[in-house]
Amino acid sequence: MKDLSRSLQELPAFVPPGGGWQSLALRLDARQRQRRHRRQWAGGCALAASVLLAVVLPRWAPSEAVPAATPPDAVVALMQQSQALEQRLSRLKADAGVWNGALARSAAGLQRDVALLDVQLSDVAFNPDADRRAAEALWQRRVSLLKQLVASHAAPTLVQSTTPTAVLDEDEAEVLEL
Amino acid sequence: MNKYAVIAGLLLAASLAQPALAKPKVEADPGQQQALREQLRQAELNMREAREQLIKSARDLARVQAQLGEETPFSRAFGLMVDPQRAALGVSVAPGPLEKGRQRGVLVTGVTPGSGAEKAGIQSGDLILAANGSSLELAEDARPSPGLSLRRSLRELEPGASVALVIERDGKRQNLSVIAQRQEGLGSPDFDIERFGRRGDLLLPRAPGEPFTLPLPPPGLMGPLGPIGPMGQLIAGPFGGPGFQLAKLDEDLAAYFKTREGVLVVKAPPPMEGAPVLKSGDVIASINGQPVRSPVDLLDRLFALEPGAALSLQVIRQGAAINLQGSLPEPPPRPGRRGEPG
Repeated sequence: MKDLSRSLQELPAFVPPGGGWQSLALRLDARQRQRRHRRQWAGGCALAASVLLAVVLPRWAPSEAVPAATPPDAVVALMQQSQALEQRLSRLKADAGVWNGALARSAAGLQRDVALLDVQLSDVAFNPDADRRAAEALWQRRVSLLKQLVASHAAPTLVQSTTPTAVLDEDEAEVLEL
Repeated sequence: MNKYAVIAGLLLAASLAQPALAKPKVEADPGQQQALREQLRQAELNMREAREQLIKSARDLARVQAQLGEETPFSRAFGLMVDPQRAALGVSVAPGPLEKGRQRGVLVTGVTPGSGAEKAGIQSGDLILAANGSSLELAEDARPSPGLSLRRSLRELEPGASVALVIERDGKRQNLSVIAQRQEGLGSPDFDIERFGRRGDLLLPRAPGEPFTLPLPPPGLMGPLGPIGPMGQLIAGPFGGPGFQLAKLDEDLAAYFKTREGVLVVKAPPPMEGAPVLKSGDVIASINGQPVRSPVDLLDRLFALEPGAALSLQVIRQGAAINLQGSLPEPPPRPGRRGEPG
């Protein structure tokens, strides 16, 4: 635990590469185009592949499933990833130029879910009989939620209201761009 | 097998399968469409009932585990989720390092975003050495252990309780005061219950968009306020719109609004009875006496307040400082829920 404490304390501040989000967005666009193209083939191929696999796969498959070995430091790696995401989120929260209620609502749900995980992580950490896979499952879920939180804070924008809010308050229903 | 033969086989199978997978065109007459819509509405109602049944079963499981004295991580998390009198500091902790036969405090392994711990400046890697005057630097075989005594006292926290902590960071001690709070989302979460050995039940929230997430029912089925209730309407708009919109004051805006502190209301929420009425163009400088640091900070603080809580906003409106008083709206009582055990 001393090593863990030290490794968490010595973890360098996480700094993403310059233009990281833009390149991610470009890659996502490209991936979506590929996905649309693939979808045209997906229906037929899926059926054909399933027939093929049903015939061929039993010859290749091992007689029983072998669980993947978990490296002993897998949990520590997840904790470090979690801490790096916390640091990034903290900076994004402070730097966000705009924020809106819909994003806040979504973020509040994710934060509530992280809180539920944190209660359980403490329980598991202090239980010497706890299954090690329990800690790993909780940390994996925590990292996943933190990634979503970071993504939701990465590029917030103001949104033109097209909802009944604007109808209730027509004189303020304008394009909201700064 | 020849790979070209496999590919040819796949293509043949795909070409044969394509017509079978094509969506049948439904040209229903108005009467049939009406019947289909009714079926859809009923299916959505069934999904909602399934969701409520899942939550009720989970509540029963957590209650029975607690009654038997066989609490699990799941039952504690579920208790925190459903009991409005329970709050948390917002940290995950683990035993601190052992040094010369003494356990040195409790290690913070995670800080919950939006929590009191985050607002107080606690960071992952901090070592908590004392809580409310009780030292957590005890001998290894001390009964109860530092971690257990800390967690026992933290389990009883009510919303708004203040906990004085002594932490160590980079070899230096700091005193911090953390306010316990509930972290509310709007609506109940989807979650899995997974078992890892005896007393190892976990509540694992599902991330939005994960498969098998039960959908929220359409607004028409949720009553006049929609699925998000009055608090959500105040913050997020009545039908999931962007609602409240805020912007940080950059130098130009600060000069224009003649203040450097606070955040700009770009789009005010609709007025609600009892709540302070904001206007677009207001600059909110503080909330319940606490300065507002950023747009995210303001909405985090609003979400941390209980329904019905008093709300005092220091606002700059057209160059003049004013104080707006009110309270957050209360959710309407749900029919048939009063007196439900647990």
